[in-house]
Amino acid sequence: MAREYPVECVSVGRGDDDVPRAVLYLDSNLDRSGKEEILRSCPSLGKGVRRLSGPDDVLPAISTSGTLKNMVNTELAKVKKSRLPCGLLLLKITGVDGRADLQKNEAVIRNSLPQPEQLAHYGETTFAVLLPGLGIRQARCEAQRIYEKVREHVDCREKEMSVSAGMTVCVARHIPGAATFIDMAASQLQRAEQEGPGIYWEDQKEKENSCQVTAEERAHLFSFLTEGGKDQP
Amino acid sequence: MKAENKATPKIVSISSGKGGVGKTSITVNLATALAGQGKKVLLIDGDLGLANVDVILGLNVRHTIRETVEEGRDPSATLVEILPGFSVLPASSGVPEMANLSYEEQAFLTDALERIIGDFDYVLVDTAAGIGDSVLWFNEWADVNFIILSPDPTAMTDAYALIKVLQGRYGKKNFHLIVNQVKSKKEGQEVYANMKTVLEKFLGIIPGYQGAIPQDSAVARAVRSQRPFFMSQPGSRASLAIKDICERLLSS
Repeated sequence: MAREYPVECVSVGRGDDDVPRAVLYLDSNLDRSGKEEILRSCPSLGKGVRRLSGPDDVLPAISTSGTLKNMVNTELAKVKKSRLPCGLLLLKITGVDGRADLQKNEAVIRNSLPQPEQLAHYGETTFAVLLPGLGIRQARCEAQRIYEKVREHVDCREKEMSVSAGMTVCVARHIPGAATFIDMAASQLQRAEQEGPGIYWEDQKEKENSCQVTAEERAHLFSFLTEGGKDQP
Repeated sequence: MKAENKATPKIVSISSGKGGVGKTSITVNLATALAGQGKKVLLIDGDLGLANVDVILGLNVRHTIRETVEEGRDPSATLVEILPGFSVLPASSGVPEMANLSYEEQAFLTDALERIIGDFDYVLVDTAAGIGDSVLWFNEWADVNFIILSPDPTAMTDAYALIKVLQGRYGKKNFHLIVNQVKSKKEGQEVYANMKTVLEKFLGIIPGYQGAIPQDSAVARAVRSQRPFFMSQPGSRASLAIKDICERLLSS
């Protein structure tokens, strides 16, 4: 939001731990009297009024192609046409304190990507990375590489921060809608947050192993050889 | 399902799981039979790194699918015409990289193939053995999946496994079985019946039966002479079986 509109971010109320409980975005283009009128109308303002960020603090654009959903839509259309798969990795970094942290995290992720335009926001502290053309194995490797870079950065910080990651891959034979695709990655991210650090994805191995020929199937196949012929078609 | 429109040929993959059950020989002779019925046939050697179609046909190829993938060469310039209406797109031999194409290369190859197949009524793909990426990919691309097996537990298991993977991972359901190297028609029917029972019980698949090809010395002789037995020995038992399979394919 800060990228498209120059705003000032004003803390409206602060808790006992001095953390803002609510913020008010003010259009920086308003003149002084306009801003003061708005601030006067907010009863919880007072000594707690504090400018958190201004137009000069805008985050640099992550993507010029719009929201994450638009980006995903574009990539899924490519999957349909090219038959190339596409992965989506969501990285959530907790323990973030303020805009400066956010920007540093974003820079680390962006620098780890071969194409910076693959990066988008998904919520305040979660980043989305599109992995076009990568199947599950390659996407896992790439996701692991990015995750390790972020972990390295997070572990070096003095504050306690952690990173969780969820991933999904879409293949041409089954292309979900953009919202569903994002939700699939988000559900894996949720697993990561609940079950511990690391990258989580749909249990592809389970799906792969489900194609394994079982002992029972084999027994039925070979019963023909031991028992003789079956009814003719 | 007939190929009613030249722009949308019927793509048939011929696979087996196990190697050595006769895929290439059957594919080459089936293509020959289809061409003999006036159909325009493209035979793609899908064993991209260990080509055999050109060997069975006695071709001396200069250009292969490899050049399409690696150099962007127009695949139509790589086609070899065997008979009027019957062309082959040869693969390369001794090139491991071709047997392990990346997603991008596979997608590029698909695009390239789809640009040329519109001129044909039938596209037959002789895939490699096994369940590697290229096998699965060609089978996914095809409209109909022919699975070759022989009355041998390893061939039956591998054929079943291939079908299971294609169904489980790609949702394929249109399978047709050809039983090769049988001692009699009855044996072929028994093998088919058994496979059908197991496929239906465990996977909910009812495969079609394209027919059985008998053990026939004409086949080995034809391979050694590098000429399709359908052409060199049209009256052989194997040729008559191929003729039946061809007619079933044409009427489906």
